[in-house]
Order: sequence, then structure tokens, then C-alpha cells
Amino acid sequence: MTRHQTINAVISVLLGATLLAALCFALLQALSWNWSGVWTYRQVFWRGWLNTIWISLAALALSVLLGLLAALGRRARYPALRWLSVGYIELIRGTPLLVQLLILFYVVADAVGLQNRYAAGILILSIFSGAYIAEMIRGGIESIGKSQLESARAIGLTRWQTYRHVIFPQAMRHVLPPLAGQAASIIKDSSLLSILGIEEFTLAAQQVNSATYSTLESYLPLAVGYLALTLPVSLLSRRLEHKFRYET
Amino acid sequence: MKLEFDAITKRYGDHTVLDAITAQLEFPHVLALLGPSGGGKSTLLRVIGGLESPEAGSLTVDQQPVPTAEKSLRAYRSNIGTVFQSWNLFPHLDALANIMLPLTAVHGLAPEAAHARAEELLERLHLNGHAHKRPAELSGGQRQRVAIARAVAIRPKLLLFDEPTSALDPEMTAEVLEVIADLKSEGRTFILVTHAMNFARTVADQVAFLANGRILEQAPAQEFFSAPQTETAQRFLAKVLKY
Repeated sequence: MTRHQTINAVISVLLGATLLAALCFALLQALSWNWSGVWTYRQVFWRGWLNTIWISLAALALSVLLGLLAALGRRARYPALRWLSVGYIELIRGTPLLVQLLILFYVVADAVGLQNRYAAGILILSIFSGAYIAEMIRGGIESIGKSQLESARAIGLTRWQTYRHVIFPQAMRHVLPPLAGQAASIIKDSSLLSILGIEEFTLAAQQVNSATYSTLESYLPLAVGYLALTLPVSLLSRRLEHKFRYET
Repeated sequence: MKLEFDAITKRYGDHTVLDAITAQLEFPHVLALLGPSGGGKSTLLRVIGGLESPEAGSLTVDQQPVPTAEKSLRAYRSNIGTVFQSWNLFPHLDALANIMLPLTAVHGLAPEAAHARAEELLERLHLNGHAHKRPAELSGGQRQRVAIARAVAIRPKLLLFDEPTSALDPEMTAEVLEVIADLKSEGRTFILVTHAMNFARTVADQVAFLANGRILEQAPAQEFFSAPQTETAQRFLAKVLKY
């Protein structure tokens, strides 16, 4: 047996043993599983799940807009705009979402009188995600070769026309696959909005849990519910990546 | 056409590419810029095309000064058709859309009119059946012909060719040179930077010879090729025409 095979065998055995232990544990638990309590609260789950979907969609749309503005800001002619964009991107990417939620919700939103917690939650999630999307868009724009810009100049396109007809359509190819991945991140990150009392999927599961005291039965559907959303999105992301790789 | 250069200077860092060129170039239709690589031909062509701004000096084209402000420079460029060595087509657009874009976006043609003009040019350049192919689906020669169609479609007052066949194999080179020769017989005015000496000899009316950032001599094409005046040009021609 080679070293390679030995290591592989050890990993396989460990993996198998862990799975077996988990299965035994689950079976033991299953004896005391109580789905009927949770089932009566299925409407709560359903409503939370739907809320998560529209909150994520709204945050995705808003964060693409913010990301686009920040990416363009980084390339702006005016240094002040560039500093603003870099500041935003680095500040947001350098701090945890949870910390941003706490500060922006309890300090900033409060100070400016933003009362609607859903609006505030979506806004904060968008600000967070927008910083990452800004970098994706910047990467996409910078992937456009100099010869393309020269060609655009030669035919007399204005700056805006160059973005519209030359840069954006080509940058899309680079931006769409990671953007789909970011959509999956937004769906998962939206679970943190539960700490603001926004009734999305995670808060719904927590409410069911405190009403029924059946922890596993409350949180297992939660994981499945998120997977049902994120798996298709990552599948889409991978397909886009595949599709665009062979073009040009 | 008449070009007047007054002390045109262009530097890249420490390297002086155009060294205070002062000259008058007059030619009925076709001017060839010839000379060794790195001599400044392409840069001069790009200055004429308004793609490169000289650090010093000025230039007039048919008595009209080439503007320096970006906005008027853009208007100036939009009336010049430029064909690059590596075609520089837009890869996300098919051949037809590549030709139509400057017409609709810059020259204000209605889509139908632009479409008709693009179709007509594709046919004239023997590209029938390729209208809906993207550059990646075309051969190098076809791409360069689409690029020529894009440049010609705007009905430019001047066409610029920057080594249009340097990236092509001999057969494709022939395809493209044929198209350029046709443009001459249609009476179009253009400036050509090329290494295809025999082609320059047949198609050009006038030749300007550049080396080390200066125009060393200019003469009618036949005269230049049969009796180059400067030693640099003599050596250059002896070398490139040897094989």
C-alpha cells in the first residue's frame, strides 16, 4: 500500500465511524422525535421562508445597485469619490455582518429615525453585500482589455456609451457567476436579521422551538429550507461559469 | 489630402517616439508610412487618428487643426475610420452589430438604415453568410474585413490602417490586401502603416519613411522604391526586399 492509499483508508474509516455514530445518535433521538408539535406551526415556517425569499431578493437588487455605484466610484475621475468607494468597500469587508447589524440598526437607523425594521434590515444587508459585489464588478470591468477601450475611443463612443455598449456587456460574463454565488450568501446571511426581530425563516424556527421545545424538529427543517434555496442558486452559478468559460 | 506637422513630439517615459516632427505630407489618396519597427510609424498614425495626444506640437489635416480637448477630439475621431492590427472587434457582438454600433450610437442613424448599410458592406467585402457570427467564429482574415467594414461604414473622410495584415497568414493577408486595394479604386483616402512592401509599392501614391522618431524622407511611391535618398532608407529597403 502506498502512503497515499494508507491516508485515504484512514480518512475513510474515520468518516465511516463518524457517520455511523451520527446515525445511531439520530436513531436514538428519533425514538423521542415529536413532529406533530412542529407540524401545527407549519404556517409560521412557511411565512418565515417566504419572508426570507423576498428579503433576499430585495437585498440582492439593492446590493447590485450599491455595488455598481461603488465599483464606478472606484474608477471615478474625482479622487473624493474614489476615496469614498474604497472606504466603504474596505470598512464593510473588514467587519462582521453581525457587528454592522448592531451598529447600523441600533445606532445609525435609530439616529436617523428609520423605524421600519424590515427596511432597515434589508438596507444593512444590502450595504454589506454591496461591498463584495462592488469588487466583483470592478474585477469584471478590469478584465476588459485595453484594445477594447481603444476601439471604443476610435469609433467615437462617449465614456457612458463605452460602459453601456462595450464594458458592461463583456463584464457581465465575469460578474454573473460570482454574483449568483453572492445571491446564495445573501440568503444565508439574511438569517442574522433574526436578531433584529425580523420575522424571517430563522426567527420563525426559533419561535417554533420555544413554543414546542422540540429543538431538532424545529431546526432541521430550517437547514433544509435554506438548502432548498441555495442549492439551485449555486447550481445556476456553476452553470453560468461553465457556459461563459467556453464563449469568446 | 494634406497633413501638416509642426514639431510633433511624443514620449513614453524616457523614450522619445516622435522627435519634433515638422513636415508637410501631401497625397492624392493613399499615403504609406514605412520604416523599421519602433521608428514611430504607428504612433504617428495614432496621433493623426486622434488616439494619441502629442506632448508638444500641432497638426492640421486639410488645414483643419486636430483638436486637443477630449470632446472635440471625440467628434474628430468619429469621422476617421481606424483599422487595427488585431482588428479590435467587439467580441460580444456579431459582425453585423459590430458594424452597426458606431452608426447608431455615434452617427445617429436609425437602426434600419444602419442595418441596410452594414448588410451592403458585408456583401461588398464577401462576408455574406457571416453577418450573425461573432468574431470568435470568424477567421482572422474575415475578422479584419469586418473591422474594415466597420471603419468604412461611417463614410469617413480618412481611413487609417495600422499594420492591418501583420497578424494574418499569407492567404488571409491576400484577402485583406485585396479589399484595401478595392478601397483605393473606389477613390477613398487612407494612410497605411505596413510591412507588406510590395503592397505599399503598388497601392500607395506617396511614401513617408520614418526612423528614430523622424520623417527621414518622403516621395511618390515609385520614386521612393526605385531611388531612396537617405542611407537609412536604402539599407532598410535592401534588407526587407532581399527575400
